Amino acid sequence: MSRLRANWRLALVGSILAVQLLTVAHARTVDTRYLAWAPYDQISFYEIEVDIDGRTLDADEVVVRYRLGLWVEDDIAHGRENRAIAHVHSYVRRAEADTNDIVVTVSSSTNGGPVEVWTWSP
Amino acid sequence: MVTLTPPVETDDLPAGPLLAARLVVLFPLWPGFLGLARPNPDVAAFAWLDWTEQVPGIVWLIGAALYLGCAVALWLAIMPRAAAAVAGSIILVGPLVDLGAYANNRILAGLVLVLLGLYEPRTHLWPLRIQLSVMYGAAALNKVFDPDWRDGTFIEHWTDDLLDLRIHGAVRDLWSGIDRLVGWSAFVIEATLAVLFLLPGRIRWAVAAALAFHGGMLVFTEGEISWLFAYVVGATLVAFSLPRSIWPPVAALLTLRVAELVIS
Repeated sequence: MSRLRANWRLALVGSILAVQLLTVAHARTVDTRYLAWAPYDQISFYEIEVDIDGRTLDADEVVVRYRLGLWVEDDIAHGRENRAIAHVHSYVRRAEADTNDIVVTVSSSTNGGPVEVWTWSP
Repeated sequence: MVTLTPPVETDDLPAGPLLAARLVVLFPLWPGFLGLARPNPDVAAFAWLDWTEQVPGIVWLIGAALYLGCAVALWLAIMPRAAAAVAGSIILVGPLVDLGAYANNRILAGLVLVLLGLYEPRTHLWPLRIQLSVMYGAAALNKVFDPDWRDGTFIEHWTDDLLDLRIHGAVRDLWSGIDRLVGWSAFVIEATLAVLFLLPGRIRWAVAAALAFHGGMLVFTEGEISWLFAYVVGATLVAFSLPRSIWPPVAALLTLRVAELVIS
């Protein structure tokens, strides 16, 4: 019985480690870096603007809508992402997948580089 | 001298891993991180976890209470493996259900506790060694494939624009190649650590190198990055730092089993 328990524990340990190898390998094929042990790899500062039904949301509405730890500066919703700006893109895409007539614009600068604009409109 | 390595059938941990688990479980008590043990579901890291937003708050409070119970159990050496496994699992929930709480220090702390909770004398600390190897290897991999790390852009932006490091800035004024050197050094060191943790008979080298790396990072960043991660790594490395055979009084103190020692 104790042998069985020990084997079960070893199988679980093996699975935990194997899953990490898979997620690390998977991160090489996508832009996101979840579960990839990527600390402070790409630091991005970004702004989000949202238009719904032809109306532009004010910055406070954007902060409440996305809850990504955004802050308001100069009436614009700002954010910081420490691993990959693709995390913000993928979240916005997910959050607005079922929203009609919406345009989300994320303007970001990664590692102090030039501003890149990403737009989402389902 | 006594050997604290337990037989297979007991729910026990040797002194080193037990002390490591006790130190790691204190991780959420760092200033400003008291809420860490209570997951606060907000924006889940993955779409398949969106349902966690609907989980009643009382469930998360129960989780936090359970975490504290596990921490106490670990320190009192009551079913330490089970306590470590449950506490680690609770920590791991946080980064998954709350994108704002996604942090490698939390994930490492959770995984270390879970792996210690699944401790098996046959494999001793090899799962932990593989875990650290995977972590350092992956960190090196992420950097080496990033052109901003290879050409020094990341280090320049990070140290100058964000951290405003005076010493590094002064060196850069003398030699502009310092940013590239630091970037390459980071992934060479991480790759070396990944290998060292897997080399039989070299664990003390790996421990010393890891402590030097994280200590060096604190010095390099003038105390900015990263105390929390250094604490979790340092606490984890305690598992390797105590011999499996320890003088009984010291062993009793470390495992808080004074009464057990007197009885025996």
